Amino acid sequence: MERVWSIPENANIVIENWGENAIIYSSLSGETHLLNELAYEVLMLFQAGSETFTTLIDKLYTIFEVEDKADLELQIQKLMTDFENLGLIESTECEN
Amino acid sequence: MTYRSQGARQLLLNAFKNPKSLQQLELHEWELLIRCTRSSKLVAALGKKIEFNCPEVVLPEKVMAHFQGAQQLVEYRKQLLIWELNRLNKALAALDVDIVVLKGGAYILLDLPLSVGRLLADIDILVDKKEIERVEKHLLAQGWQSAKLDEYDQHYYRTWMHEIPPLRHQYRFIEVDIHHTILPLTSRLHPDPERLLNDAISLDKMACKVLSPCDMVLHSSVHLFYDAELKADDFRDLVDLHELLSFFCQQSADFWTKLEARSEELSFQRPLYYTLYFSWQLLGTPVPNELLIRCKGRPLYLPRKLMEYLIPLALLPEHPDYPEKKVAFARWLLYIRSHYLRMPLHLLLPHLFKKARKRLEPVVT
Amino acid sequence: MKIKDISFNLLARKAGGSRGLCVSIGAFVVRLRTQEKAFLRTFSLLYQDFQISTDELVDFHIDMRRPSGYRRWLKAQVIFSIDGHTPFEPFPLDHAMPLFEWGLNWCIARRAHQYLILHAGVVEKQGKAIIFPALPGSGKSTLSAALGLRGWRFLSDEFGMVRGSDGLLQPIPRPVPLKNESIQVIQDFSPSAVIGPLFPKTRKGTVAHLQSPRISVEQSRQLAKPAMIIFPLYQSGAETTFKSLAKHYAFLKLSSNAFNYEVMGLTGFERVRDIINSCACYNLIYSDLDDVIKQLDAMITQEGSDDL
Repeated sequence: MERVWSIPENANIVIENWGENAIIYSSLSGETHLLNELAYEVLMLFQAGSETFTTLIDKLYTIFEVEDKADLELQIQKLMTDFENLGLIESTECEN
Repeated sequence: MTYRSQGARQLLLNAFKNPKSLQQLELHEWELLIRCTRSSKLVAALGKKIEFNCPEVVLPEKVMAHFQGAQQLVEYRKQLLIWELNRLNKALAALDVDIVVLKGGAYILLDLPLSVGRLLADIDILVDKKEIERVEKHLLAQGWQSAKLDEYDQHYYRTWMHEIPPLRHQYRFIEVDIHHTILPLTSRLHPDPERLLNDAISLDKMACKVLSPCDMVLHSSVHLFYDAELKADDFRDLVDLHELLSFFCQQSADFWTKLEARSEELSFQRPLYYTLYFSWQLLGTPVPNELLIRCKGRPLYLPRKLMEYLIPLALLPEHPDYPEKKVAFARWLLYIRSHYLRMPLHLLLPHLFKKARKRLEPVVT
Repeated sequence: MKIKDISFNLLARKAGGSRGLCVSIGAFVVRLRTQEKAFLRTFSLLYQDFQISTDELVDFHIDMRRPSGYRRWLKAQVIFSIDGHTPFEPFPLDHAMPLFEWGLNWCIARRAHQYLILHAGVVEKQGKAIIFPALPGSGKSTLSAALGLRGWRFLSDEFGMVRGSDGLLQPIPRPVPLKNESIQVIQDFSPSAVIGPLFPKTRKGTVAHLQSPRISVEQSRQLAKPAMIIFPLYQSGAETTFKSLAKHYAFLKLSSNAFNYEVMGLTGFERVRDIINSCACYNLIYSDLDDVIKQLDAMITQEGSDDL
C-alpha cells in the first residue's frame, strides 16, 4: 500500500504565474500563498492528477534534471508536508 | 409615512414572512428595513432569502450594495468555518471518539439552506464527558491553544459551565468550544448528553457527526429560551429555528410527532413550546395548530400571556431612532430570567456581583 | 444642492432635527445629526462642495452627541454613535471633527465589503488612476493632496475602493487629514489651499483637514480605471527615484495593504491580480513634491500610449 496524494475535491486553487514566482489562492483555506518554481511545478502536477511520492519524484527528476536525487526527495518530503498543512493536498491510502 | 417601533418590527417580520411584498417598498422603507435587519445581524440572510425565493423582486442598487457587503462577510466567516472543520476532522480522525458538531458548524456540514446567509460565529462540539480531556489534549498537541483567562473565569468555565475554555489554533481565527453537555451544569434542566450522542448522525467522509434533526431543533430551542438573554441579536436564532422547522417538516411527514415525543424524552417541552409558538406567531412557520394546543410544555395562562408580551418586544429590534423604555424593561426582565434559569440563586448573586465588579475595575484602578 | 448653498442656520436646524442632515459622500449617503455648532461649522467648511442628499437611501446614520449622565459635567466630551451603537470612547468636545472622520472610516472599512478596500491614496488624470498604497507616515496623504491641488482629480487619500464587480475605483474625495509638518508643507505648496482649524494632541499629533477640491467632489460618482501602482516613501532630502517592482512582490504588498483582502476571498485575489496585471508597479522615494508631480505628469501621459 502506498499513499496517494491529490488536491481535495472541495479546494478550488486559482494560480497566477509570473515567471519564477507564482501566487495562488485556495478557496478551501481562503489563504494566498507565494510559490517558488519547484513548489509551482509540484502543484501543477497535482492539478493534472493524483500522485504517489514515487511517481512525483520520478516526474520532477525529469523536469528539473537534478543530480542529487536524495536532496530532491528531502525537499519534496518537506514541501508535501507544507502542502498538506495548507490544505492544498490530502492523502488517501490505496492498494495498487 | 413615518415608522415608529411597532411599524419597524412589522416591516422586518413581513420581509421574512413574505419577501414578495418587498416589491412595493419605498426607498425610505428599505432603509429602515436594512437598519433593523442589521441590528439582528440578518442583512445577508434577508438578501439570500430574496434571491432564492423571489428573484423577480427588483432591488434598488443601494439596497443591493448593502446585501453584497454583508454577504461577503458572511461568506468569509463560512469559509473560515469550513476550513476549521476540515482541520478538526483531520486532527481528530485518528482519535476513536464520537465528536458531534453543533449549531452553525452542523448546518454547514449538512449544507442546510439556512447555512447560506447566516453570520456564523464559532464552532461548538459535543463529546462524552469522559473523553473531553483526551480531545482537549489531542488538539493542544496539534497547534490549538487555550484562551487565556483569569483564574475566576477558568474556574467558572470548568466548574459551572458546560464547556472547557475555548480553543483556538495558533494560525487561525475560529474558536472551538468543546462541550460535554448542552446546558450549564447549574441549569434547571439536565438533559442526558448520552442520549444526544447516541442519536447523532454520521456523515459521509467525515470523522465528525451531527445531532439528529429533532435534537438539532431542541438544542437550538433550549439555547434560545433557556440560555440566551433574549435581546435583539437573538432574533436570528428564532429565524434559524423557523428555517430548521420549515426544512425538516418537509423532509419527513412524521417530523412533528417525533419532535414532540423527543421533547418529552429529554424534558424539553417548555422550550419547544416557546419555539413552536413564537416561530409560528412571528414568522408563520407551518406548525400544526393541534400541536400548539396539546403541547405539554404550554405554560399556564398568566405566565404564557406574560411571555407572549415580553418575547416579541425583547427579541425584535426597535426602530434605531426611537428606542423605547418598555423594550429595555422587557429585555432586563428576560435577562434576569435567563440567569435565574442558568444558576441557582446562591450562585447567581455572587456571579452577577463579580461580573459587575470586573466591569468596574478598569475605571476604579 | 451643496452644503455651501444654504445658510449655516438652516444647516444647523437640519443637523439638529430628528431627520438630520443627509450628505452624499462618494458612493455613500451619511445622515449626520448633531447639536454641536462649532463642529458643524468646521464640517460645513471642509465639506462645502458636497451635495445635500434627498430621496436617497442613507447608508450610515451617525450622531455626534454629548454624553448623558454625570460624565457631561466632568469635561466637555463628544460621542460618535451609529444606529445607536457607540463603538468608541468619548473624545474631547473640541476634537469632534477628527472623531467624525475617524468614525466614518471605521464604518466604511467594517461594512463596505462590496469593495476591496485598499489603504491608499488615489488620484486620476486623463482617465488613468494612480494608486498610492502605504502605511501612515509614508506621505501618501500629502502626495495625493498635492496632486489634487495641481489639477489631478483627487479620489481619496485613505481608501482605494476597488469595486468588487469590475475592479474600477470608486472615489471618496473626503477632506485630507494633514498631520504635523504636512500642514505647513501643503500651506507652502499651495497658499490658496483651504485648511480647517488645527487639532493639537490627537493620537496622530496635530491634525488639520484640507478642504476637498471642488471638481473632485463634483465628479465623485465617476469611477476610474487603475493604471499605475506606486508605493511612496517620503525621505527628507531624497532625490525622486522610481524603481520598478516585480509583479509577485507588488501583489503581496498590495494585498497585505488592503483592509479586507481576506474577507473578499476569491474576489479579493482576482481584483488584486487584475490590478497588478494591468498596472505598472513602482516603489517611489521622494522629498520634493513639485519634482514628483512633474515626473508623474510625464509618466501618466506616457502610460498606456505604447499600446496604441
